[in-house]
Amino acid sequence: MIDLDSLVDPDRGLVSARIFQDEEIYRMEQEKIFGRCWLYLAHESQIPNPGDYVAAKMGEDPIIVTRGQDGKVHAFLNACRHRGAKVCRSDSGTSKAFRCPFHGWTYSCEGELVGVPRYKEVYFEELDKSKWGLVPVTKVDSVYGLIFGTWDPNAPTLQEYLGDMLFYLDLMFNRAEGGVEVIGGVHKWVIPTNWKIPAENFGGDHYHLLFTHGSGIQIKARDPLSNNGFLIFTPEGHSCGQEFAGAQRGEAVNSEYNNYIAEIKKRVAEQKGEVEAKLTPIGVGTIFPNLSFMDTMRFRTIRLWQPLGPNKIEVNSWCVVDKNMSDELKQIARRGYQLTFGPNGMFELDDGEVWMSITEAIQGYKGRTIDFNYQMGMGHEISAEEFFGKKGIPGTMNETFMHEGTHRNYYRRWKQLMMS
Amino acid sequence: MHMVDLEIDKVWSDMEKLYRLEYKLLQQGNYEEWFQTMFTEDIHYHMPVVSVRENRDEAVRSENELSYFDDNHRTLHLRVRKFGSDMSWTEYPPSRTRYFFQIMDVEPVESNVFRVTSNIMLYFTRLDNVENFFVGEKSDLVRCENGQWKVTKRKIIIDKSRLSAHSLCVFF
Repeated sequence: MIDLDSLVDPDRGLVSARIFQDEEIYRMEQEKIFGRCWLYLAHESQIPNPGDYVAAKMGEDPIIVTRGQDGKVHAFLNACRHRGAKVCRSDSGTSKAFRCPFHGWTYSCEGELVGVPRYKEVYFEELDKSKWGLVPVTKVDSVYGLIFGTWDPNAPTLQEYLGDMLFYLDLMFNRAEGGVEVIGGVHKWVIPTNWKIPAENFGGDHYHLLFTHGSGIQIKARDPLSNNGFLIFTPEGHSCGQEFAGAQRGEAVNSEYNNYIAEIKKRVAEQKGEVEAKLTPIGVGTIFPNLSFMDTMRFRTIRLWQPLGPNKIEVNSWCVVDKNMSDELKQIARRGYQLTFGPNGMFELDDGEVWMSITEAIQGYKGRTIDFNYQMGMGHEISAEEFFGKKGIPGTMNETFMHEGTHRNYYRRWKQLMMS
Repeated sequence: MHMVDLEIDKVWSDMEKLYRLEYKLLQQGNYEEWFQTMFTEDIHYHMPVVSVRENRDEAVRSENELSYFDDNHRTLHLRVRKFGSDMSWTEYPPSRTRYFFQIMDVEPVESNVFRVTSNIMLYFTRLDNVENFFVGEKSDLVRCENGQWKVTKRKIIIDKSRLSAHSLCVFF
């Protein structure tokens, strides 16, 4: 029996390397984290019309997300109820039904078993089709078009799960008429590392910009990092933050999107307040467990760190734009994202190298016993309300912009789920 | 022999030489010289994402959708300069690259402009255990400028919907 208490000590800022490479802990995570949390599936803009579908994953489970003929979003395990073959093998498309290539069992967009070949002849009509539909994801809900699913029938509502983070997600996804849409296509690449390493990184590691992304700073694709910003975490395990002047500012990469953001900030100031405008864009963050995002001066991206075992992930990364942006501005945002992030982005290139080397270092007898240090800023916490002098601004931050309170918070949440 | 055939043969032979030079520079890690040698000022350097779709003609993402490279002269050069930084961790230690190509077709487009299509393959290794094959197609629009062929439009399609690489730290 693994003693998680001794391996994860967020209050002392210590987490054992073991949890980033252990097969047994990984198996437990599949049940206790991926089996119970709300997991991001897709965006509603990817499946606008009845019959539209997009492939997704919950942990290692392949999922189909559909727009039913009833206009509602449905999500199912992508495994035929007969004998398990995938009924959908494409990334996305439109289909009236899903037919398994193995024996031809056919399912509607709502997941019902509607066709069984030779039903009279060989099944004697004795198979109760109503009991053999595709396994539905237990709860499916969406916020700002972001579709989440959970297997846990006892899960809180999606709104409760996102909790205080909804305030910040509102600033990121709900600031233009018509909301957001996802640009077609997804960046997929495989990194040999544990899924929690990039998740905690995006959750609040601004410290790594100095060195991991030193090359980006050298060529002025990014301004040197100041110590002037906010980095908040919420009780549900989520976090986000950035410098006050905005993440991803860089003389070499300025675009018309800067002007667009300036307009947005003005509108937020008028409609919500000066503090809210200061917090827009909301920067880099993570929604527990494995959904990260960047809301910057040049683009927005959302991405999933999908686990493929304890030492491997598949990254799925999308570019998000406001529906009512001009086509030209959407393309400027997309190119801005691709230039700096994605598998060949000037910044993201270096992250893969670093994360990969962590995994390489901790496989051995000794490596798996070391503690990682998450002690930055311990004891210097301050509430966002206090910092900004405004009631209702949620989250805890630190006296200094850069801190590892977000990491400690993340592992507190992880530990709470793993030990319950 | 037909005049056009002679012309195409000449371009074919010129492009063989140019691509061999290009890959020599890339294999040496000489990205700046590669950039200056190969591209016109109005270059469009494009590598679209490939998706898994039911129909063959839907697989390659369109120009307004997600891609890996969608660069002009300025942004491509920015990438090249990033590679030249002494904090570019995908270059320290350096990767090992070995490029192969086979010109498949050369067709005239207009006066002094040809479309050159090749199959390409890059065998890429890093450190002890990183090993990737990138295989696909390169389609170049080339233009003769001051007696030199230069690429004015490049479209690269790598035959993967999911990269098995931790970083796509190469040029094609």
